[in-house]
Amino acid sequence: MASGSGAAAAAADAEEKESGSRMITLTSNEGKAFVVTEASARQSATIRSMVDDGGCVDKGFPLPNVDSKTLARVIQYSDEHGNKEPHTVDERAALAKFDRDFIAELDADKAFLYDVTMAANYLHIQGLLALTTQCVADTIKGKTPEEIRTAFGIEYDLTAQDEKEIKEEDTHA
Amino acid sequence: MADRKKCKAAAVATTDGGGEDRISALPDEVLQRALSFLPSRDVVRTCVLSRRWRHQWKSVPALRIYAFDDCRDVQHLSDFVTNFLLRRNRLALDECDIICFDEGDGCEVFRENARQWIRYAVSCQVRVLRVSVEAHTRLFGAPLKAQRLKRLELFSVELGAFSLDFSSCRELEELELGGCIIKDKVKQILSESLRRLRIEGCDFFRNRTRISCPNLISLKITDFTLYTPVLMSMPSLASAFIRFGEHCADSCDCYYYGEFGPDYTGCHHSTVKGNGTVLLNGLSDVIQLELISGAGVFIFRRDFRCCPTFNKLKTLLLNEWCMAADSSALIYFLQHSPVLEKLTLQLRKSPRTMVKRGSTNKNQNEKFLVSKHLKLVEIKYCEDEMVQQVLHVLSACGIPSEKIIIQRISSWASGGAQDLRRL
Repeated sequence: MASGSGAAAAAADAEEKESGSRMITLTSNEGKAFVVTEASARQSATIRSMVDDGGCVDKGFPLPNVDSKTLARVIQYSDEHGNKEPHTVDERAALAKFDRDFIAELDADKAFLYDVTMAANYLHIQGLLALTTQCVADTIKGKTPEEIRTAFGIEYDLTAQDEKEIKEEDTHA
Repeated sequence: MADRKKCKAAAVATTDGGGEDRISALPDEVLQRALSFLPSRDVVRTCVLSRRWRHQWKSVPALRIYAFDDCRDVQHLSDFVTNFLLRRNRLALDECDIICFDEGDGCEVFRENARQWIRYAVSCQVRVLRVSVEAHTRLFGAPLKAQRLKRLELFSVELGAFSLDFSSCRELEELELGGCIIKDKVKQILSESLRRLRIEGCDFFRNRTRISCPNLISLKITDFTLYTPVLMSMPSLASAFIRFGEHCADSCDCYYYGEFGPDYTGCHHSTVKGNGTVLLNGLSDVIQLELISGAGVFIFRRDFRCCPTFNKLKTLLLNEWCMAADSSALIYFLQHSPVLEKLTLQLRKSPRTMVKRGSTNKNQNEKFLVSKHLKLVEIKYCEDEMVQQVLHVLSACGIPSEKIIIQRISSWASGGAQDLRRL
């Protein structure tokens, strides 16, 4: 793990030296500032378009919809995917393993999974959104409705009228 | 299995933590995106979860129909899909899978319906379409008119007359054909927009189907039977991998150019018409090339007579076929690849000696300079005799021994075979 993050830092350094890549400040709704590489920030289509439109790079980007805990986790993903492009089979495998570990942690905490999904949706980070929505799908897969309700904590609130309609539709195979 | 356990653990954690339902609070489009990963049957079942989930399934941008093993189930599934499509909001589809892994009689219904479902998907502007039907069913009679289609995958499908004319699919970028029968009426595979093409384990019945996809950047054709297709010009091609199957008609174990075919066992009536090449002119702009073939395949040797050059070729992988008939193919590539940087040779066994009657490869004995960019020659081999032969050829071409790495492979079944399959 230590060598992995060391490599990430080295890659970020190399990138900065190489192209004079800018650093960008993202601020959570609690006012906490996070400084990230432009490559990492560009994982977000929302920030990418603001940067490309000549937006306020120096002033940084306030993110009123994202709290510090969630933003830290989102940046962890963006750093891994933005700061280095996988070229070899081993690098791609390492990135896939990162994704698996990343989502396994979220899967164990559905409330946090929700926060990260909302942030990925708000920031338009397609890869991350695909990862978290896939996790939601995996939780549904192969389960009975009652098991799904338990997994997500869904409260059953269908009325007798709803139940009658569902029966008539007959799509519920 | 581990996943299942993990999910269970997670379920317990959530309920222990007060059971607050936050997933249901996700915006509609995010919930629908999550549901789009699931088979349509599972998607519909979410309508009974709660009022929040009651109608989500109707707007999910994917249709995924899978039939396995049980034919009675297939009939049931067909009824389900009919009802599903009737009640679904007719919104655009990102993806559509129509997959049947059953050859039983009941699947006749499935195949019948598959055509309708494809039409539905196309009418919903589908972006990615994946169809697998056992027993090689013919699915399209006419060119597919799917304007938004970006990726098409067809498995075990029979393809007739115009079914590979994609001139109406203007956004099509990726095409994959697996285990398909490409009938003799298929004159060409045609697409201006296509970037990536994979054809694996297909039968080419036509004595030369043309592949006219001028904007390809990646091409993979492996393990096909019968006739090698003709490659038209592809100026942007970055990588190509061609591996001949065992039942290729363009193979002759007796003669170098295969032209005495009909009288000899193991040789077929394959023909090469016109003056052009079959494969190599189409590959002349490629940067990375892998050619794996039996020694009997004569397509390349015929192509060499048209003198194609490989002006952009940087990385080349060949197997032992290039050593047949005095290493003529190996020498040809070294002679005609001016910027080659890396050459890999996978030599499993010595090719049989063959008569080189009528061959007039005059250039072969002429002196020439190999690419001055050549940095590395990697040789993987089993038999010492072959490696001696190849080292002799490389030395005669002026390649210094410090650029050559030799590796003996004891079993191709493990490491070596993996290398052969890589791309």
